[in-house]
Amino acid sequence: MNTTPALQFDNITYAYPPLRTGDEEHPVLRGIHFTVAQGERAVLLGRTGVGKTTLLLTTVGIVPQRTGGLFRGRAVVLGEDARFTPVPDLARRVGFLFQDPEVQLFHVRVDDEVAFALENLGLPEEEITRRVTWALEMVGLAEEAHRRPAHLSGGQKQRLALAAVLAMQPQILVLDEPTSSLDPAARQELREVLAHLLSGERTLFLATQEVDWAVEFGPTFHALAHGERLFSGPSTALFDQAQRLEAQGIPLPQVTRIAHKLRSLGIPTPPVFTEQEALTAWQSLLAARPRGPIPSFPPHPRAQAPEPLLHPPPIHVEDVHFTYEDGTHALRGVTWQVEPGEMVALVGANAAGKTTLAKHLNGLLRPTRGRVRVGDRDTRDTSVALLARDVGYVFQNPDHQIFASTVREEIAFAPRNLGMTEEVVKGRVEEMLHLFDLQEVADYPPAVLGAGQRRKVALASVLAAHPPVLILDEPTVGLDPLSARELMTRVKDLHRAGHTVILITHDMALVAEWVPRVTVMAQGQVLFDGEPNDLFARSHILQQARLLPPPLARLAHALAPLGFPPDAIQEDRFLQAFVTLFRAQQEAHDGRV
Amino acid sequence: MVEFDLYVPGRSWLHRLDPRVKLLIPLGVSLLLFLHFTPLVVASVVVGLHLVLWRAGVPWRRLAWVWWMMLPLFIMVPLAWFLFQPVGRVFWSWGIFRLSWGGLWHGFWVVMRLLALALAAFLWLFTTDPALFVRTFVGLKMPYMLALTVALALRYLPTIAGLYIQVHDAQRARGLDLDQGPIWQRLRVRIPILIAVIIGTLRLAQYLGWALETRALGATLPPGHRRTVWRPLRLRREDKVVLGILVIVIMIILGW
Repeated sequence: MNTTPALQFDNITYAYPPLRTGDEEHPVLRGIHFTVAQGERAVLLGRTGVGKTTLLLTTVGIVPQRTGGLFRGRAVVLGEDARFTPVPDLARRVGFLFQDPEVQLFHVRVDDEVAFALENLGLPEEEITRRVTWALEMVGLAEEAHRRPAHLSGGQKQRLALAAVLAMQPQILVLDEPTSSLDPAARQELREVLAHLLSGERTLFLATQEVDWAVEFGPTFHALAHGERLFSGPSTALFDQAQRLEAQGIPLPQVTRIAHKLRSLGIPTPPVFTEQEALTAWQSLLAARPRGPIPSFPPHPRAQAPEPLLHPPPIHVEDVHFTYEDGTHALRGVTWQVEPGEMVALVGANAAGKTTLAKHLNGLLRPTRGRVRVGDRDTRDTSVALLARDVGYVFQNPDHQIFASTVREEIAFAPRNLGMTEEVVKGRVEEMLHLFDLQEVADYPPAVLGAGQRRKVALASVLAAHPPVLILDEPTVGLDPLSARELMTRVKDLHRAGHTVILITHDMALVAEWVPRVTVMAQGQVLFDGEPNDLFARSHILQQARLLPPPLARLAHALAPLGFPPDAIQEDRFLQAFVTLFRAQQEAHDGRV
Repeated sequence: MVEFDLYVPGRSWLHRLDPRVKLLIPLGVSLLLFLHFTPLVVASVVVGLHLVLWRAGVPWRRLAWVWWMMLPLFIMVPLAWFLFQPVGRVFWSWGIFRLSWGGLWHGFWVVMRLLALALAAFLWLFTTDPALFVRTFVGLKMPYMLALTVALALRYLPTIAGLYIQVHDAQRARGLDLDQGPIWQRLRVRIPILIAVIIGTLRLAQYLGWALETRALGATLPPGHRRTVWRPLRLRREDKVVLGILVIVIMIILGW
């Protein structure tokens, strides 16, 4: 075993150049100090904007060689100081995968994409051919060698980018949030590919919010908070310090979090990290005692009909077909309704037609056939500007709507467009700044804020118009669980206040936790419409739509033979049900003794 | 999705011809049209190019699209010649206006010549896989960085156009009304869209630059080694034959 560490972060402190000349530098990283051994799998955790990407970029020298700013300490890659090695030369040792596939696919043919780095390294032609074949096979794209990268699915694009760095045969793979734009099935495929790659001596260092996804690699975790290293250790240590980490917004695997809470409620569960571990542990916990009478569980309380303060218009989609100009038949006869004040999730694989359907609700797209009615308006003869009063649409990528020179101006844009008086506009801006905790950055250009804050600005800038119907496209992608929870709490509050809320998402745990109704789309059609609970019990629909039930739903289902209510798929209800069942059996046990 | 893909996949002789040799076709056509500008030559070239493109499997809709693009010129140019550029007998004149039927006729053939040039250029674009662009440029001894820059610009055009559409949609969804008021106002309300597109493009460019470097672009190579061109263009026997024919044709055009 080689003793030179793969990566050594040696007391790194770093500040980006200040946004405005004369401003003070604020270090994003402060004294980061840890190593990753060769062959190790390390996962970097931390809230959105905490400096994870910045730290990753030191391993290829981009920080500070390309970004400038104030850098102290050393990032050492296999014994070489990354600051003084040219970026393209470090690439031989470190394969770096960026979050967005779009910025790293430069070619118009899949095999050319993989060959690019090898050409740059001046390898002989036959060697390039050999490695291209090998790399494409490793990621399962051998069949696609002659296709256009632009025509691949999101998951395939990410795997192609991986093949392109893999072909250089780097000893270290550094991945920045590789799953954030993938649907559940594509995430699993990527994990399988990576697990296969890591059977050798290769080192993995990845930053992610998807700790449930990453824990399966059995990695060492490193957590950052406020620019400092908060924690390093294996998953078991993650459990011991669960409370401290959660308080800092460090994500834990869902089952770990639940096990921790069960313990605090006096239930002797061992620490668990993966779904499989949880199932084994909890099954034996519940089955170890003699069966008492199974307690009855009240059905999940239906949300009270909200006070009709806003009167959102009902939405009727009637047999809608839609074909894009390039001939893609994106919607094939969709009939769908959303009643005033409902909260509904629109789910499905990438390119299933979710966003296309949502864009019909505010007139950005008009049906090729069929019709869409918002209240008593037909979208075919109503302008988008008019529909915008009723239907607010928050786009997936906040950068698509950010343009103003200050956050304040950005938020004022929509109310002004809708012709509100300056006084009202001012009030709305203050309200939103307060609601989203943006007062401190109110006079900054939104474009330079961190990802989490940009998303808040985007949401605030739509909400400022007080649209009674709110569409949110993947609102929590890339956000850490704590920020996601904060955001969803606000969305739920809006729903309680009477807004109709339509969420487009891939995140089944979010659906289980927050949403009473879910509509599944596949190939431009509605495949299922009902309660999440019902959906998770139908494996053929899930399979057809490339969805996976969240861990809790699978666990609740698997524990059902022991008397567990299969519909307890929200965290609180799951805990409650577990405790009730456990205690009832304990009483039966004690009674018998 | 936006696509600026002009390529029509196929396996005709034109598709298989070395793109460097194929470049001689638009070159030869241009020389012919400028050195021998007569209605007969122009008409023959237009008809001939249509036949060649049709045989290569280019659908008629693509050809109609080329005509459609030229349509404004077909109206404006002959009209301008008719009104202002007398050819032959002037039958009515007043101030700058000097009307002649000869001007109309001449103007028509000027546009036909442009159409022929456009068809010749599109012949190359319709039948050449974009994957071969960089190889073509490098094969013509263009420096690699320049070739890559051109290829990247083409590659990212659809991305930036897609960005424009997204931003456009996002701003309209916030009540931005683009179709109200006089023209200057309509242009002015598009400023937020342009700003967001520019910010997005700069962000894209920054990451793109980093990503290129992490793929070893500009890596230090051992002395005597150069960047490899994987599967470079190589002249086959058929290519050499066509090359010979085209060179002879061009010499005839030049020496005629």
